[in-house]
Amino acid sequence: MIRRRISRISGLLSIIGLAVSMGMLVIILSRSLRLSELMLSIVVTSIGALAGMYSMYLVRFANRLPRLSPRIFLSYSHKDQDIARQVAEAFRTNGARVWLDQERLRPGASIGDEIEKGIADADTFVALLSGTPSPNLLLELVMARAKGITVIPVLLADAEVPVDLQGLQYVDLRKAPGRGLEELVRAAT
Amino acid sequence: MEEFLASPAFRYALFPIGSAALGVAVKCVTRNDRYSSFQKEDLAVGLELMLTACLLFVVFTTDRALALLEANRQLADVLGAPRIDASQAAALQTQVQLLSGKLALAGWVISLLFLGLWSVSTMVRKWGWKSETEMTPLIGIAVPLGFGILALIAVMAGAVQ
Repeated sequence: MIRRRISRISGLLSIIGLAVSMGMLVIILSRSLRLSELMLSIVVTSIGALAGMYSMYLVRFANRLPRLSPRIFLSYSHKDQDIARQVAEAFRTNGARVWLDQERLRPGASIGDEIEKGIADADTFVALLSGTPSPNLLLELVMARAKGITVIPVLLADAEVPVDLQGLQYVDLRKAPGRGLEELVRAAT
Repeated sequence: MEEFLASPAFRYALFPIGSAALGVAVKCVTRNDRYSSFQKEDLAVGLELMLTACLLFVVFTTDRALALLEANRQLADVLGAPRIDASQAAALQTQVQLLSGKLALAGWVISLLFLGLWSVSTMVRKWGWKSETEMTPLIGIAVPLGFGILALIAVMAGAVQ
């Protein structure tokens, strides 16, 4: 009860403090600047505040601009996590940024939300396919298709390719992994 | 070049906006390189700008105090000379008055800046977070950014007077 009251009072004080501080700074500025300089200052401050207000749209616009480093979402079964790490390292060596669930998912994080964010920010979706497909693969594929990003299937072993990936040219890492990895890196970066 | 750096366009527009843009850029490029994209939280540099403004003001005030000491020393020399140069003494006295006035106000300005810093940081802590990692656009980003830019402009305006 007392804690809640103190919290409410500190909130109220912070609003009053901001109003006093801002008002006094504007008064000091209006006394020391010419009208044109004061107007310029107000415009610049408003631009800053508006940029903050519409930061979501600014970020969306900025993320649409061509990137220096491509972003890759790596989908794999946990059985293949060692190979996934090697593939991710190969991408990173070539300047790409890679989304790997083992690095991104913290305990308690919503898997669906994190995957959605990862795919929303990716330029390429790479699906590593082996005998056991990732349980999230189909959901991830739907998201990747909805975003319209490039999808590259990669065969690690003789595996049944999901119907959604059957029409796509795949990269084969079964017989010559080194050459296949080079081809994959070239295609994705 | 010097004219441009002394112009109001640089002092009251390019300097504060440029400081904010640089802050955003630094925040964006120093995040974990494994996988990072530009996020709206990268624009939350208002509190850093306010802190910079506070520290800049302290530095400017120290400079003024030193200038006042120097002006007083020169005034004492002029007044102690066998023949007092009245015009030089008057000019130095005017300078001393101006600097004293500025120093008298400096305490209030620095208090206002720190009051603003405390107020905005409290507001961001209380109402600026939507979730553990996501900020609200108004209280979390826009209010600190606007106030940070205003504080930088106020400090710059005080510095050139």
